[in-house]
Amino acid sequence: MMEKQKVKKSIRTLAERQRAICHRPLKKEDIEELNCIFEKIDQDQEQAEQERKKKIAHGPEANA
Amino acid sequence: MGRVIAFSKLPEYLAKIEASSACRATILDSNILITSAYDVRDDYEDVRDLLVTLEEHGHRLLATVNTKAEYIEYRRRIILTEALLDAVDEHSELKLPSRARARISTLKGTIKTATQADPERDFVFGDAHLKRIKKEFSAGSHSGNIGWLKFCHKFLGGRLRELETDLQESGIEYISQHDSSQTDLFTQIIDWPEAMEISEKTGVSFSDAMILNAFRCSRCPFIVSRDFDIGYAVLADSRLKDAVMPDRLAREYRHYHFV
Repeated sequence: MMEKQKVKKSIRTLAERQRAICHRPLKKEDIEELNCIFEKIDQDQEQAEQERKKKIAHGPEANA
Repeated sequence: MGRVIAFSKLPEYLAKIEASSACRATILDSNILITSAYDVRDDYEDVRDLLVTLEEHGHRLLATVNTKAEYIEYRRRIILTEALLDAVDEHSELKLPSRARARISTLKGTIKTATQADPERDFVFGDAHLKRIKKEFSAGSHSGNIGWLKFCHKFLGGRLRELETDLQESGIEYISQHDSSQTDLFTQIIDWPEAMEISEKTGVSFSDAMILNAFRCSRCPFIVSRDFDIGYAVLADSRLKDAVMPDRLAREYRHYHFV
């Protein structure tokens, strides 16, 4: 079987290729998956904030 | 003691090297690797053309452990910066957590101000910025770590490796004394004490001192850099060889009266 010959890439187009790798867009399902996680984080942050406020409000009582 | 050779003087310099039996290989400093692959920088075209010329003249282009690490580190920050900034764009389909969005917007203003004050600076988040943004992807004991980890997985996962492979396939070789096929590239063993001495001599950063020490131990007649400190070190240290640098930097050393 013939071995596939590696073609050297041009240094002249290095920036173009590197940019393409960095900028490859996410798939729709990846965006949906992330949005689902982020939505939950938003809710959890809100809940954590409410709990923090509650703790501050009841702090002196709790410590008494 | 080495000399600083301006980019514009490269043809004459190469002719001299090629007339001798000097090794046809050079070490690329991290800022050269970054600029050659990041076309928003001012001197991108000069750097790209210089590398093309070196290749045409049969010079091997080498990256050391430090220059490669710094290159990958820079790319990591570019990918994360662009992903985060795109995600806070009003038309983005990605809906980041509100606190993360707010933090990114604030820090975007910070780097904007910094780049306006210093045009040499790239519009890229620093590591300290990224650490602060990362914290906003968690709701403490509620959501834990999943948000940031998933974000990294989707945007960085596999890409740093791809970038590295692309560099190698472009002819930029990683040199290592552990690679037995590269022993002909070195004259000495790379060791810590000499790197420390290089740093002690001019106060150059230790990362630069390690790059310069690898260069010193190599057969490469010159290093290519766009870092003022590298040129300064080769001019000040009798154990170092030449540095090829952009013309505007090469001119600056005149004021320092190196003999």
